[in-house]
Amino acid sequence: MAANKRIMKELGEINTNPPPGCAIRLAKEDDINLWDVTMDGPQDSPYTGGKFHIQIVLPKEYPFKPPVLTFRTKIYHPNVTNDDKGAMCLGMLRADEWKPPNKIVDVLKLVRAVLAAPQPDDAVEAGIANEFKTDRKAFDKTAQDWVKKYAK
Amino acid sequence: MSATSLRVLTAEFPDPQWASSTDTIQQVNSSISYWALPSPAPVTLSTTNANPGSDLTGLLYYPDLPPNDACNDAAAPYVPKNVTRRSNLPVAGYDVIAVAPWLSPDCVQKYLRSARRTGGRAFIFFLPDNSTMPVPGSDDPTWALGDGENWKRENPYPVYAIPGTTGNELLYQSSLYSGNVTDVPHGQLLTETGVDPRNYVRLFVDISTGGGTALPSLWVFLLVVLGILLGIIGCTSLSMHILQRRRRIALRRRVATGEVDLEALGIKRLTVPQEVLDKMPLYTYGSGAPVAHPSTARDGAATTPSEPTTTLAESKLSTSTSSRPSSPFPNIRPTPTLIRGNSYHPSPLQQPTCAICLDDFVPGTPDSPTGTIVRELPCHHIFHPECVDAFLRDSSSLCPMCKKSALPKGYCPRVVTNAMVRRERMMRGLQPDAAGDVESGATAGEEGVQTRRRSMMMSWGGQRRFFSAPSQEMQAMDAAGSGSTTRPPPPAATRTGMFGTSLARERRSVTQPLPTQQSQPVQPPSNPSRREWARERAVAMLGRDRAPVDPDAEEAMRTPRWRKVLQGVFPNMGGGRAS
Ligand SMILES: [Zn+2]
Ligand SMILES: [Zn+2]
Repeated sequence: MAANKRIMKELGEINTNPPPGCAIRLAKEDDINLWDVTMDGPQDSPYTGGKFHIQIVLPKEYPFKPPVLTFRTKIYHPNVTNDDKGAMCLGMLRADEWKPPNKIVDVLKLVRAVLAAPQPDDAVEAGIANEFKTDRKAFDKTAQDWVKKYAK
Repeated sequence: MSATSLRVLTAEFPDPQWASSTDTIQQVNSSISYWALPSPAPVTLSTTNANPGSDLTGLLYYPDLPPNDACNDAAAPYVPKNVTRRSNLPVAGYDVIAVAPWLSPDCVQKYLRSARRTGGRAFIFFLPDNSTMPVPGSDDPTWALGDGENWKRENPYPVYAIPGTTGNELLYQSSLYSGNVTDVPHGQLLTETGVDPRNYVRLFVDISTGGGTALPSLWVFLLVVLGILLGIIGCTSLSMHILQRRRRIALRRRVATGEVDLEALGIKRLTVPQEVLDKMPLYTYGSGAPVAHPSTARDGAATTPSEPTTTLAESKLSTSTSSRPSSPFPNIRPTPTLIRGNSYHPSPLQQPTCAICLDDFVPGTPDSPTGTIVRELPCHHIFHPECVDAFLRDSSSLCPMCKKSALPKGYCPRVVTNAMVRRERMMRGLQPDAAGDVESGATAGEEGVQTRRRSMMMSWGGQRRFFSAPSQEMQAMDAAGSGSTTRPPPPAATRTGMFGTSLARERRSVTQPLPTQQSQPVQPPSNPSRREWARERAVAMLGRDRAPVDPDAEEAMRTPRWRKVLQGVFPNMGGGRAS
C-alpha cells in the first residue's frame, strides 16, 4: 500500500511538472506499475528529433528496488541493448546502487542525460561503445540513421 | 544349497581300466537315446557335502541291498531286474549317484548304508506311490527316519527326493542301459554312429545346485561388503556432521565477534527480526523524544506514542552532559542506541522527508508533541516506521539509504546453516576440505581474513572505478535533481555523482568495523595469484551483486539432486560447485 501511495504521489508530481522532453502516462489505466514514456531526443545529440518510446516497470518492491526501463523504440546507443528488449541498466538503475529516494523523474533525467552523453565505459553494447570512442562520426551517422528509421 | 533341477541323459564312456584317457563322459546322440528333464525340481532332504554353485553329476545306479534282506522284496515292484547296479559300472574313475525307492525307515537306512559303501556321490529317493504329485517338503514327517536326523549327518552325500513316477521311469530306463552297447536301445545304430562297442553306455545324472545354491553365500558376501561400506559412510558422515557443527558454531562465534560480516561477504541476506526492530528508537520527529516501545508499554510504563517522555531540550541536555553509558531516565529502556550523543536530534533540515514514501515529516514541538513518529536506524537515517519496518523485517537488514546494516554489531541469525558455512569458507578462498582451519579463532587468522577481505573489496572497487567519472552535465543534473529533496549529508567524499556510489559504500562498510587498521598499509597478500583466483571463483559462483536471501534455497536450486543427497550425508562436500 505504501508503495502505491508513493507511486501515485510520483505520478501526480510528474504529471504536473514533467521533466523536459518527456510525456508520461500509464500504459493501462488500472496498472500504476507500468508507465509509458515518450522522450524527445536531446538537442545537440544524434538523437535529436527522435521520439523514443520507453516503458518503465515498477517492481512490486518499489521503491526498494529500482524501476526496470526498456526502450521500445530501437536506438543505436552503447548503453541500450540492441535487441527486442532494449534494456538500459546503469547508474542508479542498478539494483545495488538504487536508493528509495530516487524518483522516476530522476531516472528519466538520467536517461535523457545518457542519451546526450553516452557512457561507453559502462556499455552493454561493446561494439557500439568502441565505435563511439574511436569513430565518433560513424557513430553519429548510424545513430541518426536509426532515428530516421525507427524513431520518427 | 538345494537342488534347482535334475537332468538325466545317456552317456558313453570308456572303462578306465583299458582306456588311455579316462573321465571322458560324452552324451550319446540324444535323438536315439534317453534323456529327461524331470519336473518338478527335486526336494532336497540333506545338503551334506553338496558344494554350492557346482552341479552334482554321476552315473545313475541302484544301490544293492544285502541279498536276503526283506527290503529286496519290498523294493521289487519298483526295481526292474536289469536295473543298473554298481557292478554294471566301472569300479573307479567315475562318480556315481544312487536312485532307490523311499521304503520303510529301516530299508532307507540300508540303502543309505549301501550307497555309502559304494561311494555314492548323491542319493535320489522316490516315493513308492507311482504318483506324479510333487513330494512333500524336507521337513515333512514322510522323511523322518526316527534317528533324530542323524542319517543326514552320517551319510557323506546330499540326499534328494523326486516323485514316484519319475523314480520308476529312471530305474526302468536304467534297466535298459545296463548292458553292452549293442544291448541298449538303438544299440546297433549307436555303434554304427561311432560309439565304441567296448564302451559303457549308461544313464548320467546331473543335479543342478546352480544359481540357487550360489546365491546365499554371495548374498552374505554382498551384505558384509555393504555393511562395511555403510559403516564407513556412517562414520565419515558422523564425523563430517560433527565437524560441520563445529564450523557452524565457529562461524556463529566469528559473526558475533564481528570478524565475519555475513551480509558484506554475500553469504546471507539478513533481515531484522521483530525483537531487534522493537529495540530501535522510535520518537517524535523534531522533538527527539523516545516513544514507548511496545515492550515497555507492556511493562506498564506510562508513556504512549503521543506523549513523549522528554523534550528535545531535555534530551539534548542529558545526552550532552552525561557521557556515561547509561540512560539518565530509569523508565527508558537502556538500549545501545539511546547512549549515542546526537542520536535523538537529527537536524530536520537534513532529513525532512521519508525517503520511502516521499512524505515530509511533521516536526513536533515541546509544546505540541504531535509530530510524525519516526524510526531511527543505527545509521541515523529516519523513516516512518510503517514505511521501513516491513522492509527491514521481510526483505533486507540494510538501510535503504546508505545500505549500512541496521542490525546490532555481532548479530547472528538464529539459524546458521551448512550452506552458509560452505559459502563463508568459499569466500575465504579455502578449499572446502583444507586442513589448516583458521577457525581456532587465533588473532593472526582473524587479521588475515580481514586484510584479505579488504584487498578483495579493493580490487572489486578497482574494477568499477571507471564508472565513477560522471560528465559535467551529470553532476549539474544531479544537483538539480536532488535540489528538491534535501538528502542527508553524505559520508565524506563518498558521493561521486549519480553513478557509482557503490564502490564507496562497499569500501566504507568493510573498513568501518576496523577503523584502526585504516591507517596501516594493507599487507600484500602472501599469495596474490591464488587469492585472486579464489576471489574470482567466489564471484563467479556467487555473483557479486547481492547476498542471497536464503543461501540454502539458492544452493538447493543450483545443486543437482544427487549432490543434495550427498551433501546431506557428507555436509563438508559441495564447496566445489562446478563453475
Ligand atoms: Zn514514509
Ligand atoms: Zn542509513
